[in-house]
Formats: sequence, C-alpha cells, structure tokens
Amino acid sequence: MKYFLLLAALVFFAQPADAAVPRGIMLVPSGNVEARPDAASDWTRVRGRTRIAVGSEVRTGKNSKAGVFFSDGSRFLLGNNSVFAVEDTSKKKAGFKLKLGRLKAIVSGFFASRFVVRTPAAVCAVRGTEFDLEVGEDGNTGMNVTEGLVEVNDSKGAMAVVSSEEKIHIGMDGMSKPESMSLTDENIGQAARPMAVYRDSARERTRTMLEEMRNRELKANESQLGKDSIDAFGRRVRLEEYLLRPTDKEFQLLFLSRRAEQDRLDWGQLTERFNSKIPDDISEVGKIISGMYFSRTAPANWLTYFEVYLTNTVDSIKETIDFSAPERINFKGFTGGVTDDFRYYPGTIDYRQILSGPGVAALASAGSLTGTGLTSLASDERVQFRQVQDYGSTNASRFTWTQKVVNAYGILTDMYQVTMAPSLTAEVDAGGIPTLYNADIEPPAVISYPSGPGMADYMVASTYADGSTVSSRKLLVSNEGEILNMAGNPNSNTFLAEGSFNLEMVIDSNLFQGRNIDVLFAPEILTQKKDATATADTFPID
Amino acid sequence: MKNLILSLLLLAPALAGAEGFELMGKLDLAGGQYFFENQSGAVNGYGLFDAQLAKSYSSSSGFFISARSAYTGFKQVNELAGGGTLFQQSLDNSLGFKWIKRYEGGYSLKPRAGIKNQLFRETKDEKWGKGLYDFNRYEGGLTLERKTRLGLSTPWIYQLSWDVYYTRYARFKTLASQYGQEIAAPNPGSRTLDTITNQFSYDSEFDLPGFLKADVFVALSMIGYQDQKVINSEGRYLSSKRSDSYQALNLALSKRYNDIDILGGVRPVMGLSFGVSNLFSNQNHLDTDPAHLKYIRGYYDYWEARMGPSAQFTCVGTGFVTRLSYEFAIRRYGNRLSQKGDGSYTSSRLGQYSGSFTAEAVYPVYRSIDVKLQGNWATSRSNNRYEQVYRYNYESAMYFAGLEWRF
Repeated sequence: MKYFLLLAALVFFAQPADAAVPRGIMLVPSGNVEARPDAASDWTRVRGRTRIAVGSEVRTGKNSKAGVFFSDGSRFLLGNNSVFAVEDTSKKKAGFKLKLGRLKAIVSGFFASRFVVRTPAAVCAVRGTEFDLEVGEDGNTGMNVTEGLVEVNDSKGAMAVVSSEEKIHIGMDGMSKPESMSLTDENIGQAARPMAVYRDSARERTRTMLEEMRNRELKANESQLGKDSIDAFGRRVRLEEYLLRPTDKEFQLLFLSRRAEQDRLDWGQLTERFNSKIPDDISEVGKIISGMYFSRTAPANWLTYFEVYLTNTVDSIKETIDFSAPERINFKGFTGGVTDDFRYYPGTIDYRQILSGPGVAALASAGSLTGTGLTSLASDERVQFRQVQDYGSTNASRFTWTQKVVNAYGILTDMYQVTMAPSLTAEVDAGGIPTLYNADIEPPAVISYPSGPGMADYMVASTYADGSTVSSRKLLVSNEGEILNMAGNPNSNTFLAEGSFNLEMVIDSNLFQGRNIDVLFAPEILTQKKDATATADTFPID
Repeated sequence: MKNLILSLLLLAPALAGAEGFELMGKLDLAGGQYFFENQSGAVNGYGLFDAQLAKSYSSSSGFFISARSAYTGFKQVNELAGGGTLFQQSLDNSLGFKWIKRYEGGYSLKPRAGIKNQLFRETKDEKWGKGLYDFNRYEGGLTLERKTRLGLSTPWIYQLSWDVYYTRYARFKTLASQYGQEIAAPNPGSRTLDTITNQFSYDSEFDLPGFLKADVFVALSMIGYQDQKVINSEGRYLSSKRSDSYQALNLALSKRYNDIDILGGVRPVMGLSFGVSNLFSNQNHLDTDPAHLKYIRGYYDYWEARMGPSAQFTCVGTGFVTRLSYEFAIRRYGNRLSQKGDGSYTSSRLGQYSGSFTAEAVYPVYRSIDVKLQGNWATSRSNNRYEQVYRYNYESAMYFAGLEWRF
C-alpha cells in the first residue's frame, strides 16, 4: 500500500507535461491566404507557416485554403473564400468565429470539449471531434458533423445536439431539425471508422459484462456450497457431498475430496440406518437419535447402525456402531439429570474399527472373525479395535463395558472390562468395577501437535501389540489453507465446534504401505460419531 | 487459442499498414496488490493489450476484429472474495469479429462472433491451463441499431441485441460423475457449470442538451445449464436440467459542468447509475451438513439493487484526471435462509450489502502515454453469520499502478 501512496503523491505533485498543453496556433496557408492580428489592422499575405494569436483573423481567396493547427493535434481546415477569427484560447474556452465560407474542424486532445465556433446564425459548442461548417453571404450556416457531438444554439434561442453523421441548417430565422446524412453523402463516414468501432466495442462490453458476472456468480456459488478449498498442505481440494436414500429406513452422506494436482481422490460416507421408516425431511432424524437416550417413553424409532467410512480408494478405515433396541432401565441416581425414573437406553452399543487394504490383506490375521462378533469379514479387512457396552447381557442389571484390541498375532482379544450399575454417578475409571485388564496388549497412545503449540493440529497415534499403527490427525483449516491459531493446545473436542474453518482429517497406518487417507468434511460428522458412541457414563471413545 | 491471438497480434501492424485497415487500442503495464481483511497478497504484475483492427469497404459496410489479452498477477476486488483465496493469477485471451452493415435511415445490422479463453491459477500448486475454473466461451450475436432523434434537440441511438454465449469449463466435472460408479454416488450431471445463455437486450443512449448523457439498458437472459440436474427434497437428481432467467435494468446519467476556476481550470463530470436485477432458477438445494440438513426450494433466486455516484475531474491545463466512484448494492435471496454462526438456520432470508469505492488518477506523461493509479476498497456485510466455507462479512482492497499507452 505504501508504494501506491508514494506513486499517487508523485503523480499529484508532478509538473504539467509540455506535450499536453496547447500553447500556440499555427497557420499554414495554401494559395492566397491573408491574416491580420486584429480586426483594426490591415490584411497581410501569409506565405508560409505563421503563428497566430487571439484576435487574429484569417481569410482565404479563390482556390485557396488554410490549415489552423493546435499543439494538441486539433486542427481547422479553411476552405476557399472563408473568413475566420480566433476569439479566445484561454484555459476555459477555445472560441472561434467563422464569418463566411467553409471550415472543417477536427478536434481532439484538451480542446475537445471546450471548443466553441460561432457563425452569424449559430453558436456551435463542440463535444468532439469532427465537423464541417459552411457560412453563406447571408450568414446562414450549414453544418455536417462527421464525428462526435456539437451543441448548436440559434439566434431564436432554440438548441439542438447534433451528433455524428447528422447535418443541420441554421438560418438567421432559426434552425431546422437535424437530419441523418445519406450513406451516399460525401461527408458520411466509413462504416468501421475508429470512433464507431470504439463506441460499439464499449456497448458490447456492457452486454458481455452480464455474462462475466454470471461466471463469477457460478464460482461464488460453488464456494458458498463449500465445494472448493485449500487444505493444510496448500493443495486445492474439491469437495462434494451427496445425500443418498438407499432404503426408506436409512440415509447416507457421501463426501468426496479430490486433489487434481496430486491426482488423488479421498472419499468417505456416513451411513445411518434406523429401525423403521424415517421422514422424507431428513432434518428430522436428529430427534429420533436423541430420543434413543434417556427417553421416558419407549422410542417409536431408533438408530440400529451407524458407519463412518474413509478411504483413499486403496486403503480404508471404517468405524461401525450397532445398536440394539432401547431398553427400560432404572437410572435412578445417575448423573446428568436422571434422578428418580426409568429411562430408555440402547441395550447394546457395539463399536468396531476396521482397517482394509493391500497391507492388511498381507497379514495372517486378515479376515479373522475371532472376537469381532461378526459373521463375515472380507479377506483384506481386519477389526483393529472393538468396544461393546451392554446392559444386562453380560451382567444382570448392570452395564458391562468391554474393549478388545489386536494382540501380538493380530487377533482381537479382550483388553479391558468394567461393570457398573446404572445408578453410579461416577465415571468408569472412578466408580466402575474392573473385571479384566490385559496391560500387555494395551496400545500406547501418543498425542502430538505437529504444527506446534497453539495450532489446531492434533494427532493421536496408537501402536498395537502386533506392531501395527493407526494415527488420526485432525486440523482446522481456513479456505486459504491456514491452520487455525488458537489459545492453548487442541484436544479432541476442539474439532467438534462449528466455526469458520474446515476440518481436515488425515488417517495413517503402517498397514497403508506409505499411503494415507486425507479428507475434508463437516465437523458435524465427528460430533455425530461422538454422540453415537458415548457410553452411559459419558466415557469418550476417542 | 493463445497462438492464434499471438499470430494476430504479430500480424496486426502489417495489416494496419495495409490499405484501408485501421488499428486502435491500448497497452497497459502495471503492478498491484490485493488485500483481504488483515492479509495481503504478494505484489505482482498486470498487463493488458486491447486492440481493434478495422476495415471499411464503404460507408455502408465494414468489419473489425478485436483482440484482448490480459494477465493479472494479483486478485481484484470484483473477483470472488468470500470463498476465494488470497492468491490468484489469471490470463484472459479473447478474439472477436464483427461485421457492420448500415442502411439508409440510420439502421445498422451487426452480426458478431467471438471466443474467449480464461485461465486461472488460484493455488500455488496449480499450473497454467490446469485451473479448476478455466473456461472457454464461444459467443455469437446480432445487433439491430437505429440512430434517430428524440425531438429537435436530442440524438438517440438504440440497439436491440441478441447474444448467445456457450461457456465450457474444460476441467470442471463433478466428482460424482467421475467416480460415481465405483462409490455408488448419485448422478447430479457431469459438467454442471457449462451453460448456454441467450440474452436479449435493449440499450438506448440519449445525448441531451446541456452536456447531459442518459443511458437505459434492459436485458433478459435465459441461462440453460447443459448438464446440471435439478435436485429434489429427497436428495434425488431429476432428469430435468437447471434453468435460470435473469432480468436487469440499468439507468445511467452523466453531466459535464462548467469548468471550475481552480488549478488552472478543472472540468467536472458527475454521474449517477441505478440498476435492479433479479434471478429466478428452478434449482433447489439440499444442505447435507449432518447437523442441519435442510432442503431449500429456489435456492438461487434473488433480487438486487445497485446505485452508484461517480465524479471525474480533469485538470484542463495538465491533463491530470481523477475519477472517484462508489457503488452500493443490496441483494436479497428469495428463499435462501440466513444461518447463525453455528450453522443453524434462521427464519429470515439471506441478505447481502456491499459497497465499493474506486479512486483513479491518470496523468499524461507523453502524448498517448499516461501514468495510471487505481485503488479499490470493498466491503460486504450480511445477516448470514455462518462462515465456515464462505465469508459473507469482510473488507477487501487492491491497488495497481502503471502506464497506459493508447494507439
């Protein structure tokens, strides 16, 4: 900006450019041309280029003509038997008089809009640029405007703007209506003369501007719909999201992230399946989900399956949650506002994390169903982690919370189990009764902040007993690819908040053979996953 | 395309020297910078070559070829701001041909054809010709012009025009169309930004007495999206395609006043413009944000009003020209709802208020060469507080400075 101000000041205080200021008037005779410095002086024959000034008069004889030239490029061409006078060339006005004869004016530069030519019958104020005047012995004036506009006043007070390729007659008794010149008139201009081309180009630009604005509008709409962004690594990402309704009981949100320069596509989907038909207005499903937890009455509908699937088209990570029907449970004494009543709550919440890809397929444990609770698994899939919360199945009238992880052989094995009563007000760690804990297979989780402290860049990496790793990195990124600067260090809740930043999630694993999964999507998907996997004691899964 | 324009530019001087050809135009070379809120883009260059080569066969027929090539190394305030990036470079090449046929009585017929290619680099990893929003536009049109008078005093030119634009975004295809089969995505169409616009317009110019100029411009545009399917409330894409209609009315007045006797004479020209426009579309929108899934019918419909005063001051002695202009615009969407900061929808319609101030100074340094400085400041305000993916409330600015040569 400072450069701009400096340049502005230089221009403002600059001295006038010599070339821009008309300083003198040059008379160039051809034939018998006479001039005099004022009306009282005698006529003198002009034989060569002569400078003339205000008050000067010029007359041309039979078969003679003269040019009157100005330093800004403007010029008059006087025909034979003409009498012409320079009345004023001040900075405000350039005034001339054609007393008799013919004059062709070609006006440009700084004189263009302050030329006034008077005749005995008319005053012609020029707006540019080219016209012919003819004054007869009786003072009657004829004018043809080749280019530009001339404002004509007659002796009766009438006024007309005469435009290019029009002609007008101004008599001592007033003016006639201007008429268009015929295409055969000797004064008519060429069809594609410069001024006509210039004006026509300007009009065309006005019309085309509407289409230009529509092009910008299209782009703005794409942005408003969040279809275009820059990721945390400076790469352009195109985003698309779609809503699908495979059956009347479920919906899917499909989100795609495409980085053209890297020729990569990462995509994912959120699936929610319900026990019975859901409304056409999909915004109503939030109420169904919230009705599953702590409802006083039996829910009419509930979520039976939730899935978040992320892939780079080769490797994938899938998180699934199966829900059983809400059961009537006595929560009396439980925290969170439940003080004296029975409430409905899902009987089982079964969460699984499933990895797949060529790296997984190469493992001996690939496709293993042990401990998964599943009846089938693809040969390139493996359940890496599972968490089950049940009420009354493992222990009567108790919640039992179990975590399973892969052991040193990649087989899903119980790691941790806690039993608790619904009335417990404390969290699992504090009030639950641990019935099992296998420290040997607990994957240590390392939390790091790859962009440094105070940045919304949070990574959790886990290393399992068989050496496999899974890391999840979350970033909040502006449209320009800037990572959010925040007070303090982020945690997993940081990424659940709405704001003016996009959520970028990078999933990595040593089973992905050097690839990773990198998607941008709405933070609300994380929020929904968190809500869906919250255990009765609010123990967070991630 | 680039080679074609380059060839024409090289040929232009030779053609201009040929009998009956006239070459006119300008060349701008400048540098500038863009600012968005508290961030600034890098200083970069600006170059514009805009020329017309005209040939007349007679007073009744002729043609001209126009060529324009512009490079902008920094963003301008009229470009996408709210959702765009700080970094933007664009290269714009266009070529046009217009035939002029004049008839007695002030009538003219002007058929035309043209092509435009616009390239963008909006991230530093994008290469020229690989921009997501690069497009080609093929244009055609026919104008009927009448030059006549309104009474004794006023010349009147009006034009009735039909213009057709086919815009093709060479690199923009929906991801669903590219990968839909693999991932069972729905089919929203492939080239959803490609359009064919038929535009009918009427333009009238009046040169009124007292150095007053008036302009009336009316346009009706029918925009057909060639491959953008209409979405319904269930998220299904119908077989019908998106179709918009856009209407605009612009009025402009300018008046030259008598010179003011300061600084050796200053000539003021004041202007005022007013415009209204609206857009109707059959396209709807389904917000797939899981927290606030929402279907909005007629999502793109809006009306807009614009008003802008302007002033130009020319120092008669030095040729120093200052131009100042301001434009205020209000846009109201017919059905689009504003959102709170957390993304939840309110019951009020989305509105946007924008203002733009431009200051320009031009100083002739030598014959047809001017030094030119321009600064733009723009603001946008809206009742939409949800700005996760697009900024509705912001301030932006730009400046550029350089030389212009007119020929």
